[in-house]
Amino acid sequence: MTYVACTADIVAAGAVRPGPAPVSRPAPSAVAQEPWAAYRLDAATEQDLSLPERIKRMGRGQEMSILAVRRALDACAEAPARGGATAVAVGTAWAEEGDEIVFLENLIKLGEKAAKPAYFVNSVKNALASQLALTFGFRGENQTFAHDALSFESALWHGAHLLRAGRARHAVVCGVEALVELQEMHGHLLGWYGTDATALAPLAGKRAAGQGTLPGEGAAAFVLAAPRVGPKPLARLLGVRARGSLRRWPALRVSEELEFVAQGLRDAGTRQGDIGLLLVGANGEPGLDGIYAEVARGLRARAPGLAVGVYRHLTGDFAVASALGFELAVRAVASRAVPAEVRVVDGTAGAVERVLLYHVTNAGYHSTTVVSA
Amino acid sequence: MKKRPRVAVTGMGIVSAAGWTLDETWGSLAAGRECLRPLSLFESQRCGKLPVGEVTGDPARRSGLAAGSRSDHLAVWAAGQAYADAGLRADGFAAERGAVVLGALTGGMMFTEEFLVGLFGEKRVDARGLDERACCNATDRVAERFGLGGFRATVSNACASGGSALGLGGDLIAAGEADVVLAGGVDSLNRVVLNGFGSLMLVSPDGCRPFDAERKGMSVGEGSGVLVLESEAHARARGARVRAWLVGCGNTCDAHHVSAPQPEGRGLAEAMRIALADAGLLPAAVDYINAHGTGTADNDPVEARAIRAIFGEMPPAVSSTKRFFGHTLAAAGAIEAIVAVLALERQAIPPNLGLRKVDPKIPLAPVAEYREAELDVAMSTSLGFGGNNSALLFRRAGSREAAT
Repeated sequence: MTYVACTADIVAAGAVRPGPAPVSRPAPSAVAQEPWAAYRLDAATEQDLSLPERIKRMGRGQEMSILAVRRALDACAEAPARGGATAVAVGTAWAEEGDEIVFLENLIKLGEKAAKPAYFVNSVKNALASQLALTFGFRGENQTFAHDALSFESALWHGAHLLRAGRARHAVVCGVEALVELQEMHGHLLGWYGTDATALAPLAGKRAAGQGTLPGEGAAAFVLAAPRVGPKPLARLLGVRARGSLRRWPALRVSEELEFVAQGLRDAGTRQGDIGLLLVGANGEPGLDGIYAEVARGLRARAPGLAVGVYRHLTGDFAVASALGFELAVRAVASRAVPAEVRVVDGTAGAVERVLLYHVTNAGYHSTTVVSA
Repeated sequence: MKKRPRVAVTGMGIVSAAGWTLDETWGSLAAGRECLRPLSLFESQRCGKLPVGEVTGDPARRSGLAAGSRSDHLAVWAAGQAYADAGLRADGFAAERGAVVLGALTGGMMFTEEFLVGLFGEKRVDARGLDERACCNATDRVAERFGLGGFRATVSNACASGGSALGLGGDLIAAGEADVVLAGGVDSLNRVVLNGFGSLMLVSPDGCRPFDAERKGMSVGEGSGVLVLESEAHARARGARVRAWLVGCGNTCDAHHVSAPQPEGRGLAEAMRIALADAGLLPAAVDYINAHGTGTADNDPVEARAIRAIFGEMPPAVSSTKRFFGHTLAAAGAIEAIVAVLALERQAIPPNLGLRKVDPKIPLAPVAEYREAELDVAMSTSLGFGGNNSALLFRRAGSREAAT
């Protein structure tokens, strides 16, 4: 059976971004003495999370995803219908892990009889996708992908697939992650995260080896429609390819990554020369940045004019930060210009017609996504 | 909606309280064997005496994994059976054409608990265990064990996860994203799940009795079910034995309540309708439904109403096999899909164990005793928190329609 790329019109996008710079705060004394730094939602965005729905008991991830979807729907010329014609696909690695921790904390400190059912219900990972369905009345297919850095891209693929298969008229695709303390503890104890509250500088070689990256949080939502059924779209998804490599850092091979990217372009029916911007998920951690740099160098060797951009200085590093990168890519092709906040680290971007996003992680998860004007 | 190309089921693997293999499992079902027993995996003041579907024996020894959570071990064991059952070989297909899609909810949640116990007890904490907590680890370990470098996803749609994962596996085959997909689900017992359902007053003190007038709730279980899915062309080209065809799948969301199903079962009925349309089948073509049937006050009548809404006054034979396995959460849809396929193969209906007298509010007559039957098409249904619904349709491999 031959592969047919999943294409879709992107008719609207909305994002909930962390503040423009990391913030510092005291670490739990049991774990660290130095303050920690992380990219978190700023006060204004926190205020925006105070939705009417907040009257119900919701987790932070639910609130963030509702706000992102609401922002996308507000920007929608033709809003998706309530009912079965609109599907929901959410990518989230940890969903409401914060509520799971509260549930466990009660069990451990107060005993099993103190278990609070609301925290248990929220700890189930589809609490976000089902809350979106509940809030907006979308009764179509409802899928939650919880696979680390493949989560958002799998949701995007699924949304596009449903449209192509005629199983939905619109698909609301959302990537969301709320930072919780346990994740920070985990990353700090294992030495992934640094403590310096200056902004990340991906591919700039400024962070020393071992200094790590910084965690972050955020959400981005997209309304997808089958090609050419609605008003002029913001952008068009030409293909998304998400895979788990059988290699992990440090065994990742640049040659295999280059072939992976080439296959992603072929799947999307795109030549490398058509790409106006390569947007990569480099996170400022020197080891992984090295792979990104070499892959970018390899691609530029084939197309010397290729501009290379980074975005995790805006978001910090988390499993579905790629959703926020994708939102920047959509804006780039919609405006035919690189958004000012994207940092172009190599080459010069002109009028951007197509963007290739490339991500790879220490665990060997890698993805390519091609979006076009 | 376009009719789905049928997808070949060429291998299956299973582990649960009812057995470590397909034969052991079917043996338990056919004999009507009680498989629920008091929890022994960890101490629990609240739940220690409750009957649960606990896998006996040592999953780590069976899986051969050097590390990992209980869920990882169960999934790798079930996937290994399925891989062998399908006659797959590592050199039989390109690694990047092999995909893994598993439904999973809790992953290695016991590692999270262990870390927090240390943290709150102000003991020295070891964060390495936290690496094992992610629910996607089981999917990764299956992919790594069998060298599958293609599409990889962990679906977390509450108790409908296993069914959704199988539907997604079928999508990958239909879209040409993969030649071989290992799809299914896994979950293992832990304190959060037991106390979570306990706090919702959903757990039966004496074992679940789906559809029974005196049912008192669900029983929690653990396990894994994995199926090998292939396109018809790929299966035929390598001379694989086809055990059944996955011909239809429907997924919907009630958008009604965060944990309770829509009272009339509209969402599940719509999932069943979609699965039938997907398969190009009329309701009358369905011979057997392996129902989600948890034994809770809400689930069973809702499911019965949905079945009646689609199948009318003369629904097909129905049974819930939850009392054999307990409710295995994300694994349930996959384990019960395997039961549906085994029913087609063995031309027999597994019994609705625990049923003594049907609840008069439930307009169904579940099959209480094991019985032989001519079965051509079987359906498996799943419902989950958040209103997620899944319906899968399988057709017997040797049926005349399947051969055309």
